Amino acid sequence: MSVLTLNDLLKSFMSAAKAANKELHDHEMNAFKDHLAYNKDNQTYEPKTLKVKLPQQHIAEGEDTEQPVDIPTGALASHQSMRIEELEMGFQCYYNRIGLLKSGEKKLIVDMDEAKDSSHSPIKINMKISSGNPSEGVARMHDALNRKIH
Amino acid sequence: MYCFTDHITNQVRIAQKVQSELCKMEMKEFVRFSFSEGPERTLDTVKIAIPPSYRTDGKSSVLHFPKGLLQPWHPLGIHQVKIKSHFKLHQSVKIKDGHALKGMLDTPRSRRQNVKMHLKIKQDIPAEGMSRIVDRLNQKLNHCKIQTR
Repeated sequence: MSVLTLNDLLKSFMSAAKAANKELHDHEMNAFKDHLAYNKDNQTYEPKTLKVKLPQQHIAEGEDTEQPVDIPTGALASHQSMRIEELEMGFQCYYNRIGLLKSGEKKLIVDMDEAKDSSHSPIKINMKISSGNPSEGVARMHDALNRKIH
Repeated sequence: MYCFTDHITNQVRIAQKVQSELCKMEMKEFVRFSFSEGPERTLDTVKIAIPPSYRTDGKSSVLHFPKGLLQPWHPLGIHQVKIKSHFKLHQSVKIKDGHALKGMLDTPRSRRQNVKMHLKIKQDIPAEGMSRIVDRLNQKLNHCKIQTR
């Protein structure tokens, strides 16, 4: 049976939340690529367009003229993203022992199920992970990069 | 049995798939309703006859009114998704470098569930870079003589 430390358990919950959040972020960009077509010749993405005929802005009197225009599909779709706002994990585990790792570090080893001969009360843990704002430094770097897109 | 990371990622994938399907559907619906089918889509119009008595010059006329303007347009999107799940965390779970490996969870119907999870996913504004690119695409509308609101 593997040894389960409380520290590793909490870390693994955190890493799962991060992986799911990354999935959401990656999806945002991939979904946007649906509105772009890759041009192999010049190795660039070009906006996909929809050819529609719209009435001309200045219609000559008595004349109802229409002009075909290429409208980027990206301008017609909504681009709202999604993010994990909150992830709450509630569980209880049971004290097993304090283990000494090879590094000399002590860690609390827990069981997920109560042992038959256990006299310990369960340890109740409620962990809430929520999305926050990036640090000032990261936000400024993002701003600097965004300014490259005029 | 499957991994906890897969469990939460799958839930997130479902929410985002529904969201993007909705966005695509709304766009297609708008185009389908407002324009005719074919390689060059023309505006679908409704012919409205104006009787001579409504005109100062006393002549009758027919007005081609765009169909898309006759009904309100409120595209739908997911605002928030809340998922509650209970599962059983095995003692045999292997965690390496903070990542739970396979075999962490039992099936959701396991009798002895010992972990409760509440996941809340919310709609958010797009990334700044993407907004700027979309702004640029929107500028193309000006070139098509579709003026700003």
